[in-house]
Amino acid sequence: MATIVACYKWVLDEEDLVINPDRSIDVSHARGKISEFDKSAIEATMQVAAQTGDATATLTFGTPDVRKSLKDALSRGPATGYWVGDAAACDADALVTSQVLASAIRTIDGTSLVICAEGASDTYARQIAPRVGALLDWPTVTSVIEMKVEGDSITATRKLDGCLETVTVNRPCVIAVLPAGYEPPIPGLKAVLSAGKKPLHELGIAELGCDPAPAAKVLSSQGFIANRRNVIFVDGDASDKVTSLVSALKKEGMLS
Amino acid sequence: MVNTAKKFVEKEVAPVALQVDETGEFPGQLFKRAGELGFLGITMPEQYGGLGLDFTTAALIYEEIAKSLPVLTVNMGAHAELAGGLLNMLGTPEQKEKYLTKLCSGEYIFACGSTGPEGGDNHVEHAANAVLDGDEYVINGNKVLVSNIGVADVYIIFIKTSEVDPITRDGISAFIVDKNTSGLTIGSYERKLGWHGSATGTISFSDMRIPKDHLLGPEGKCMQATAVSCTNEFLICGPVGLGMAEAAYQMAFDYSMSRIQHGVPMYDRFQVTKFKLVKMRTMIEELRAFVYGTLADKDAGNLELCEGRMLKIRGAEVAEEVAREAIQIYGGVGCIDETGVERFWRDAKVLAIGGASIEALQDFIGTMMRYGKYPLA
Amino acid sequence: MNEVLIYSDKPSLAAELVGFAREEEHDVTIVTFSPEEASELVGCGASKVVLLDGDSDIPENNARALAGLIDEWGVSLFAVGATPRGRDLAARVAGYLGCGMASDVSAVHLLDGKLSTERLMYGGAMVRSEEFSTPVVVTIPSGRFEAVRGVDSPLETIVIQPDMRVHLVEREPLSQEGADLSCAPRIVSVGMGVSKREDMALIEGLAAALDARIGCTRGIAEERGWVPAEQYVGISGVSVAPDLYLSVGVSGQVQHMVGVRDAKVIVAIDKNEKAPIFREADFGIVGDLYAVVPLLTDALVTAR
Repeated sequence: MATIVACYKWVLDEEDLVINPDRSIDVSHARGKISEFDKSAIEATMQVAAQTGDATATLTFGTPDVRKSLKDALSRGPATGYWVGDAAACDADALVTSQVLASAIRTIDGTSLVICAEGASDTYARQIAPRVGALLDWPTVTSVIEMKVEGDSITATRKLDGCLETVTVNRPCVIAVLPAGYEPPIPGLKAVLSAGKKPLHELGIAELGCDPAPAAKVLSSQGFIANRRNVIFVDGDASDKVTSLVSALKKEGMLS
Repeated sequence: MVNTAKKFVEKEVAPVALQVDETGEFPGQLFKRAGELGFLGITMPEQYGGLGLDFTTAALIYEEIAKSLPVLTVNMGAHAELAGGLLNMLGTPEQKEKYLTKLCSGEYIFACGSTGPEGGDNHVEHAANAVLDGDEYVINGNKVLVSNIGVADVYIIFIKTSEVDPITRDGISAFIVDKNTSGLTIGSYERKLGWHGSATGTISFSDMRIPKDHLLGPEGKCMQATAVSCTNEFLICGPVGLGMAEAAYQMAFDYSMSRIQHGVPMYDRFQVTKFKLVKMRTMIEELRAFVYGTLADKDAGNLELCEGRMLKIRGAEVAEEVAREAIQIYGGVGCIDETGVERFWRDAKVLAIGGASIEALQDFIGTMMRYGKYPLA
Repeated sequence: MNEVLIYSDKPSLAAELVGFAREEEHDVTIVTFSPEEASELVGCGASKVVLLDGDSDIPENNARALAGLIDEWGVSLFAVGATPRGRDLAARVAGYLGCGMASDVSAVHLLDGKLSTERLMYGGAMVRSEEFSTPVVVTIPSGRFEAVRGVDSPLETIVIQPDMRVHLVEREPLSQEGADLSCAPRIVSVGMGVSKREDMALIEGLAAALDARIGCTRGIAEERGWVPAEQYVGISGVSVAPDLYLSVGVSGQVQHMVGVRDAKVIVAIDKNEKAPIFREADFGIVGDLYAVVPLLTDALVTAR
């Protein structure tokens, strides 16, 4: 039996980031979560497995903390959780991450299909699926909103700029899905319960033979602060405020 | 587990909560989803499709849902705690296989009819009776203020099968009645102060013939189990009241911070607002400790029947007071139903009465305090 | 010497990327897989246009072959237009080369064999600066650089062997339901504070008075479906750069605001003074939109 592997990233919840006045970023209150887009990758995996009866697994690479994500990941259906937890993940770029994932995939017996999201909600770099495909030298299809799988043959619909493209590809291959086709359902209590009992496999960067040195050297990370005038009309009745706004827009030359 | 409830509330319940309150329609879609997500059989045995979990887990889920749509917890409580508790305690393996599995999945909706038109808590004055005729019971009479009527697939009703012993209450039997049973009439929904969407009304029986194997538990001896299943429902009213109070408090707090009075938020401008909020918060934290302490007792098997009742009393009282003060903080805006805060007060008022009024519960507790135990328990 | 190599499946974007390379005075070559695009690209000011003649209808299928050529030619920077196809091809090339890549950069410089970039993270809440050694791949969205025109560059053709494992079955154009906001000089944007669909008439009136196009937040397009999906602004929607962006009932979540950062003037109307949009607005009115919008519409009609 073949295995379908869903890759996901454990990211900081962007809603919890606090930008300090000096533009530094306080992440101390930020909780982790599975990147929303990756929940769709897991859902796509379950939908394909429902068509084919294949085995399912999840794979993630993160800091040792990433172990916390496995219960949530597995409550979404997959049978087995593979994870690589290493402090090197802090500085990992897509080069490192794709190498770790590709090496891990080689160790998962019978993997014939890897499903990723287009990008993660923190970096949104959208590199992982094509890079993993290149490293495994498997064909890769991105921007997928629909898949039909019959045996080894996959017919996929891609949503690109201005067109829908239908392609066929044989397994083994890498697919990146868009969230549109694969809205992740809320896991039920039964699924959450059983997730705690599913088998987990930890893999190490060293045993996978990966070099954790990133190509990207981070020079700075700063919070974005809008530099706008903030002239806000609060007091007075509605017509006063409208008059003030219209005269301000006139001065700006916006009404000519 | 709680995350599942939180997501469900955020994505599916909250967007329609005000609409349910406004239209008063039974939230059928939400109820179905609650079944799919496993919320209807949390404490039921795994063998019959339940999750076999403790009451603390169930309470955490009820609390989350009550923050957004209290009436959904009423629909769920009547179904899962009252009917589910009885089926689980009294049902034969065949009955459990046939009904309890579908109760846990939500495939069937259950309603529970106990209150007779003559007396609320007084089960002795049951106006409905059953007479055995061959292999069938013939039932006549009616039950009022039954929730989930009309939408229910199965009704569990309490019917007098012989003279009722005033002390032991023997003489009352429980029956499983399928919705299509001939002789069963479903009345229209009552218009109520709160709990809009609970589908509450009267069901009547006219020469309704129920086969013997639809008797739930031994004939004439269902009240002991009922006392327990009611206790389970009263227990759940604790976290429900807690969730409602938390929601009303949070709305009032946010409002007091966003409403600008004399250039500063109302919270900072008026000490009275701040003090009200502090008092509300203190009551909430008190209730939280009481709720989860009591539920820990329940899960450890150390619960006394009167503790469950106290939880309902306190849950309703705190929810009512916090919601009332929340409306007060909002001022005029709080009286407008679109604001969404006043419905917590309306629902809390009904919580203080529906299912068993605070006074009926106090009476029961008082008897236990007087004699060391309730005659029944 | 092939310092900068450029590809985009949108020729106009390829021309903008040449603008970037010329601005920094790099030698620049454009690659394309289509003879039609090649003839269009020769006038874009590159030193050379190379037509890579494979036999695949899917540009991404050429990634492996192209990575081989980039290695052979000693390219420092492979700059790709940030479209769905471009990002896919670029990351595959980076994968085959085992090199670094910066995606969807908002700023980019190549100097002394180092590429420095800026890009947004966390839906726009964070700006990250990074540095890469060469060879390196970058994807650049449209609108960052001015296209240049030049004398016709020489066109060279090289036959390559595409990866034929992905087959094209069919391609159907997506009908553009909504308006294109990317070039609109004025936009009136609707947020979830507008509570009823009928109220869209108010917004349309205001937009007409300003001669503006209508944009919206994700919730309005995806949850309520009041405005076509092409018209929602934000990180997962369109990015816009109008002279005037006037929002009504928009709270201003970062995922939305990142799409309007290039607007010259941002105006917000919302009843909640604490709404984050007021921190990112040039002008604003705190008030009930149902009172403000009709008055504003009348005032604008009079003013113009």
